Order: sequence, then C-alpha cells, then structure tokens
Amino acid sequence: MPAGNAGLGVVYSHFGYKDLMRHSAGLACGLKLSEKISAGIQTDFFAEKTAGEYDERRSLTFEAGILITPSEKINVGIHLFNPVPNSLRKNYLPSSLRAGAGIWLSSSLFACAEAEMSTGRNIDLKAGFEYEPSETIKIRGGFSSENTSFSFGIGYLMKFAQLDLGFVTHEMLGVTSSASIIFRLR
Amino acid sequence: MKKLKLIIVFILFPSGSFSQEENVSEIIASIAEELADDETNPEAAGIFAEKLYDLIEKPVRVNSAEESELSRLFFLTDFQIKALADYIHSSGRIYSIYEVASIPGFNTDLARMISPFLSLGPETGSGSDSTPPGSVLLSSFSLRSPASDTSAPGPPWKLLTRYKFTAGRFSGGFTAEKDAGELLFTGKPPLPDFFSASLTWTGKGIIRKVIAGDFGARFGMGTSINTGLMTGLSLTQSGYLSGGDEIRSYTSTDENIFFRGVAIQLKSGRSGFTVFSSINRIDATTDTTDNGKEIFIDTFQRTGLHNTKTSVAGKDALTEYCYGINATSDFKYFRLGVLWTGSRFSLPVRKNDPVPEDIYDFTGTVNTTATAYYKAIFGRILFYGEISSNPGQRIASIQGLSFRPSDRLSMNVLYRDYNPGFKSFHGRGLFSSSAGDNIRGVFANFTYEAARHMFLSAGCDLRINPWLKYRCSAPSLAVKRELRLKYLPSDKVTLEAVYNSGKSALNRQETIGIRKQETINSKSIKCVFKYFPADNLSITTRIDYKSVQPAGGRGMLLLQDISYRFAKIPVSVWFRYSIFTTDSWDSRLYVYENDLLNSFSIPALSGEGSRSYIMIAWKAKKLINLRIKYGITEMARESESEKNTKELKMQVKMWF
Repeated sequence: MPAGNAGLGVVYSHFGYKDLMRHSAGLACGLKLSEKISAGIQTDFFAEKTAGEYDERRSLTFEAGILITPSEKINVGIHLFNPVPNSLRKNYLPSSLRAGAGIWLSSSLFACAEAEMSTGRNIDLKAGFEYEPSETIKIRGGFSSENTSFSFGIGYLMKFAQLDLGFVTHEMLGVTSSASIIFRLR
Repeated sequence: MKKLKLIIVFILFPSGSFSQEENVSEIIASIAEELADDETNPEAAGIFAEKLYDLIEKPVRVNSAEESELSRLFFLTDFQIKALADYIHSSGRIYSIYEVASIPGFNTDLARMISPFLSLGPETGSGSDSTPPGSVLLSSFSLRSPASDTSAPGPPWKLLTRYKFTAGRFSGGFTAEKDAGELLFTGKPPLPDFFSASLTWTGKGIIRKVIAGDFGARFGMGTSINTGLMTGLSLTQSGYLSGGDEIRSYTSTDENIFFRGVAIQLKSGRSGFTVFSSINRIDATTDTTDNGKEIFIDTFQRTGLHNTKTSVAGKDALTEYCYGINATSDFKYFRLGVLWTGSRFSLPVRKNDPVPEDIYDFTGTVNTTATAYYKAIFGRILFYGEISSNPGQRIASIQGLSFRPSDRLSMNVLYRDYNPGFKSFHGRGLFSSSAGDNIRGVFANFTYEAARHMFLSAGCDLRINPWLKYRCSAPSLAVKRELRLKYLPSDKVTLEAVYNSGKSALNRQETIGIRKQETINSKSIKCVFKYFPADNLSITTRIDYKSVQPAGGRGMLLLQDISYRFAKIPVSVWFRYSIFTTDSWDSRLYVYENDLLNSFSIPALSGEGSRSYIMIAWKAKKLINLRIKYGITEMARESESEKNTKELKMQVKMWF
C-alpha cells in the first residue's frame, strides 16, 4: 500500500491444525532513502501452540533490510532478522543475517551470490543465475553450500500467468521438485 | 540571546573536518587488523591506535621533506620514506593525496589510508616552537556484565583518564587507570592503581629531547629495548620497520614495561646519542627458600591486573634499576648504532623447583645487554640487522633484506635467532616469541600490484623452537603462511580475501608418562567486502571460516557492519551484527571491533551465538567528543549461557 514516500505491507501466515498450530503476522514499512538506497523494517509476531502440557510460545521481534543499487546493473542487499537480545524475551528465537549481491552480466544473464547465517547453524553460501534465451523462457540454476545442494529451474512467461518448475538436490533427501503458477491480474 | 544562538550552532553543527575524522576509525581498524593480524593482545592494537591518534592530532608535515618528520609515519617502510623525501626534493611541494599515490612505492590504497595523517600545507620549519598551548583530556569508563571475578576487591568497572598538554617546547601529561575489580585508590598517598606522568622538553640544538618521569624507548630493531608495539606482526606487511630510534613520554597502560626516570637525547651533525636511567617498581610473585631465610622472585607478573589476592600481593614487589646508552651515526648509505643497557633487581630471580622448560630462564639480579645494529640502502635494496648479547652468554640476532625490483613489487626476507636463555626485560624484537627468546626462523614475503587496483601479497614464516616451551615439552617446528588479495575497483568499493594456514606442535592430553606431541593444523579464510554508497554511509560484510585439526573442528562467522554519519548534526553511529559458530575453543575467531578512541576491542568468539554492538559518537568542533558503546554477546544454547556478556563503554575527550 503506498503511503507517501513509503510503502506499507501486512503479512499473516497460518500453519498446522488444532494440536500444533503456528501463526505469524507482520506489519512492514519500506522507504526510499535516496536515489540508490532503500530500506525496510517489519515488526513480527509469532505464536506456536502445542497440545498437552506444553506452553504456548509467543514472540515479538522485528526484521530490517537495506537494498542498494550502485548502478542499474548491480543490486546489493542486506537482511537482518531478530536482532533483539533473547534475554529480553521468555522464549528463545534464533536470529539470522543475510548479505548478497546480484549483477546483470548481460541483458539476458543475471548472476547473484548470497551468504546467510542463523544462530546455531553453519554459514550457507549460495550462488545462482537466471538466463533468458528468449523473452518468454527463463532458465535458472543455483548452488547452496548447506547440504551441498544444486538447483535447476525453468520458467515460462505467458500473457496472463507465469509457469515455473524447479528441482533441488539434497545430500540425504535426493531430489525435490516443485511447480508454481503465478496469475497476473490487471 | 544572539550569543546563546551562536553557542547552539557551534555545538550542534559539524565542523569542516568532521567527515575526515569520522572515517579515521575505519582506517585505523583496517591498518590495525592488517598489522596485528597475529596479535590477540588488545594492548598491542591499543598502542598502535594511540600512535595513529597522535598523528591525527599532529599530522606529519610532508612538504618539510625532513626524514625525522616523515619517519613519524611509523607504518611506512624505509623505502617509502626515502621515495617520499626524494619526490619532494626533485618535484617540489605535494598538493594532493593523488600525487602521493603516484610516487614509487605508493598506490591509491595506501595514499587513501594515510591521508588523515598528512598535512599538505607549505613547509613551515620545525613545529615545536610554533605549537600553540593546548590541553587534551580523555576519560573512558567501561563496565562488563557479568563481572569475570565477583570476589575481586574493587568495583567491576574500568576507568582510564589521560591528560596531555603542550606549551611551546614543553609537553607533558598523566595517565591514570583502574582495571575491573581493582580498588580505585591504593597505597599511601592514595593513588589510582596505575598512575604515570611525564614532562618533556624538545629542542632544536644539540639537546633534542629531555624527558623526566615515565617514558618509553625503542632502539634499533628492538631486541634489547622496545617498549612500544612489536613490529612485524602481519605476514603480508609490505615492509618492516627497521629503524626509528626514539624516546617518548609514556602514555600506554602496560604497567610493567616502561621506564621511570630521566632520558636525554642529543644530536650533533650525523651523530645521535641517547642516555637514560630509570628506577621503577614492577609486579612479581615472591617466594622464600626452603629454610625461609631468603626472599626471591619466582615469576614476573605482566598483566598489570591487581584484582586477586596473589596479584595484589605482587604489586610493586620488585624494584628494577635500569640504564641505557645508545649512540648512532649516519653515513652516506648506512646508519650504525650501538646500545648498552642493564637492569638490576632488588631481589634475586630464581625458581625453587625448576622444570625442564625453565632451565634457560633468567636467574640472578643483574642482566646487561650489548647491542649493535645497522641499516644500509643500496639502490633498491635495504639491508638491516642487529645483534644483541648478554655478555658471555646467549645472543639474539636479526638479519633482514628488503628489495624492490620494481615499483609494483616488493620483497622481504628476514632471519632471526633468539637463543634460549637470551634475556632482555624491555625488548620486543622483530618476530620474537612472546617471551623474547627460544626461537629461530626464516620469514619471507612479497607484495605485488598484479593489475590496476589489484594487490597480491603472500608470506611464509618458518620457526623452530630449539628448546621446550609452554604447552610443548619438546623442541618443535611451526609454519605460518598467508595469502592476501585486495581489489579496489573504485574509491567506494574494497574487496579483500585472506587465506591463512599454519602448523604447530602441542602436547597431547595424556596425563601420565612422557608427554608426546601432536601437530595442529589450522586453516582460515576471510573475505571482506566494503562499500561506501554515500559519503556518510559505509557498509562492510565479512565472512570468516576456520578449521583446526585434529581436535578443534570448524569455526564460521558472518558479520555485517553499518556506519552512518548524520548530515545535519555532528553525530555518527556504528552498528555491527555478527553470527558465529565454532566447534571448540581452539577454532575460536577473533574479530576487531571499532571502539572508543585510542582503544580497540578484540573479542574471542567461540560456541554458537551472536555478537552485536552499537556505538554513537558526538563531536562539537574541536571542543568535545563523546562516545557511547553498548555490546552484547549472546549464546544460542542455554548450556552456554554463562558466556553471555554485556558491555557498556563511555568516553569523553575534551580540548581546551
């Protein structure tokens, strides 16, 4: 939702059933700070309910990000989730930090790399590309150091929708495939 | 009312030099990290930072082209100093920092790095007469929670106050410090736990400098006397500080290495002469002989902390009488120096039950050292060397070579041999061990400008410990290697990758029988990306990976720094958030932090958790500077929650 120079957003998610239920809700605000720099912040509320003797866990935190466009072809982004010290809340909530950059190597080839780390986890280095052999087709590939995972995908652009197919490898789980359709309403 | 408005404007709005000074912390952090990469002692980085801040206070007048003035840029090599002087002699005054970048031996990166420490104004002769009267007061307070030792006799906070004044040829000041857990005032008359003061007179004739009070000194390559920073810390440093004889008033907080007395420096023509004498009380642990008749010194206490019963008992337990005479002479292409120094203790030093590791430790009451050193430049080759000896006993020797085959390539080779048993109580020689002896080795490195704005450097250090050492009950061998690639595609972007590997021997964990050793292999990679999207905004992302075998496991870190200077008010903000995970203490990661002025923080991160801090600085012209820093280290696992720490630091610096 546009609000002057800023943009506002609301997000809500629900997962599970009566005995194990997770809700998350967020209120976000994004702002263009200068010609090259944009930043956003989102307050988050998480609730998790488990049947039986377990307590209901609720957490309030925030996340923030900054997007820099040094030139038309380069983007640099940083995202920080939950910098709030856990000593200020009853339940432990992990934090995560992501930093990455993307570059248009040519008009049809985009490459990107990202480093992500969450508390209690190893660092995950990711790299990927998207190639457009024609205006309607996109070919994607990527690598993630966590679980030494390779990914491959293809996208097809239609007038009213976008069709995507993806495959991800995993050291233990083998190959996971996925498909999605995004409809455009104008 | 008009006066009040003027005062508000004066205090609230930044001065012209504000933006330059705001960037200085970043530059200092970068230099300190580069030079002190191997050094995990915050005191060393603190000494380094202090020298740089001194340079900011009084920048080097480059266009004077005097070697004594240019050599104040202590982090430059002899080649670079000479190239700078030659350029000014042949081309005249330097007008811009871009001109410095074009001088052989310099590049854009180095010129940008040293710019805050240079004054490019016209030559104005020696500055000592024209120095206007002024004083600087700096006071820092820090509190860490939880306190590391709750049974300590004093409050858990640390307090440091420094005062300096300059008035024409005279300068002086004092340093007072109370570490965490120490009593604020001790002794009779009651004084802060550490108190140091000095008065300096600087002249232009034969008598160049006289210091009364507490002072530090450095002669030659430092094997015999060097109370400052040990140089040669980074494997890929492009050159080594091979000269630089100096005496200077003592402003550091190492409580046991400095001299207390009088030092005089004379110079006539090409010859220099320095003499000093000192009587100082230092910390030591005493013991008595089996029959209880004789008191002697068992160990020297070097930490300067007096927050336990033992350390309080050892405070100022020993009186050290020290003297030194140094003479140098400059010839056309080389400099020659000789030094004679001695220490005498009020109590004998010995051990009741020495173990094999202690066989070469110093015993007795008197230690004298004779030293000779030289430095010679022939075209693009610099030779330097030093030999020190405890008369009739063991020696320490250094022989180095720096070579610049072209303006884009520099190489260094250094051999050193610090015999087991060589002792110098105030020495910190090039690539010496922390004890100053028991090491022999060869070091070599090169720095190469591989392409425009791309710098490749590599170094290797091979060291042999001919006798036993701490945690290694056999003669041992160690190797360290470093490869560094730096790319500066523009003024606003810096990319750097550093690879380190090392091998050393340590005792195995067996508790019975003869201790055997195992080889510890460590490897680490550090990648740093720095970007300045705007003049008042900088962003740094850093990734660290470390592996220690066989037992240490892995360590990883992702770090994000953002610093921002407000445009309309003189306020700067530094924010860091980092997440780390290490398998053990052996794979811990050290990361330098921006800190209060004249100091550094280098936390050791181990376990699984996050480290973050925010620091805010406010400066009103050259009148007052306030800094506040709040840092948190928080562990992810509840079982490690005892490692959770919070720190609050505050500092005020005033000029008047």
